[in-house]
Amino acid sequence: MEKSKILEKVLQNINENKETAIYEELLKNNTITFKHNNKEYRLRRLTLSEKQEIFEKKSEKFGELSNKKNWKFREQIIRDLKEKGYDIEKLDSEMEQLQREIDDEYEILAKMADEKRIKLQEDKISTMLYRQQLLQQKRTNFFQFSIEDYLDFYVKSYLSYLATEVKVKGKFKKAFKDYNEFINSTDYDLISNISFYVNYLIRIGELA
Amino acid sequence: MKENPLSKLARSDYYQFLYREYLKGRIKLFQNETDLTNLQIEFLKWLEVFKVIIDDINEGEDFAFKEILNDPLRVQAYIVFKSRKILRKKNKIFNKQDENKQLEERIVFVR
Repeated sequence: MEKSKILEKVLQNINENKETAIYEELLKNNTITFKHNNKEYRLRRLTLSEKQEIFEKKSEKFGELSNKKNWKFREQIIRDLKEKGYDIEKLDSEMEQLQREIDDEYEILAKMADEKRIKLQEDKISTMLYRQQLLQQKRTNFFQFSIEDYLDFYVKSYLSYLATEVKVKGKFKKAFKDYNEFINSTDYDLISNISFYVNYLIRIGELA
Repeated sequence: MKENPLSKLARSDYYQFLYREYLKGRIKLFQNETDLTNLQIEFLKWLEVFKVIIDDINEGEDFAFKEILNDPLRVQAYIVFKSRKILRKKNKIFNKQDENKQLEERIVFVR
């Protein structure tokens, strides 16, 4: 095996183990801790009042954006795209059909015992899964400038500010004094670390 | 296919052992016993999935090969196969019940 391939494999294993360790820690105590510039940070679950605060902020932002002419809802984007020849509903049914085909191929794979045939079938499924990812990406790109997607981004940033704490003299306290301090921070490594963990927490439904 | 970290943890001998002890009420799996997070619920689902697969392997169920466990694609394939098998069985029962019901209605009508 080439050196670069070995390195790639090692890095992939490290990342996967890191990811597994994050999940294991989360399962045990529902918090994520990490070190940055010799300081200990953590992301914790939000309280009910913090969730309410996010809801209120989201509502304010929704009102603000929906009154601006250049911002559109997904529904409007779907209609505009249809006029330009891009049919999102068709894309959705294509994705549903692909999912059914993938499941059919999974069922065939489940009944196989021969190693060579298994490998071929797995390659076939992997190609279909890749195609599914591309379709999903295409769909996401269409909506990246929608009001809904911007609100998701805003909520993600706001809860990053609320959920991040730093250890000072043995006790955890808010890492940023307000939302503005968070969004104007120039400590890009810290923000990138926080985003990385927040994405996990959102993906698994812990922060949303 | 990249393996879901929860699935990776759930299929380990360590967590499978803990899960079986947890089901018998001998230990607790998490620090919080109530108000489980979505992640913990998803983890419990994966633990159950692997428990079923391992039990199927031990009982010699159709297509339950032990090699499945370390291959995420084959795990997914087995889940699809098993779910569809259960669904077909259910549909068969429902269809049979429907047939019987229609037959009963016809008998009543003839009387």
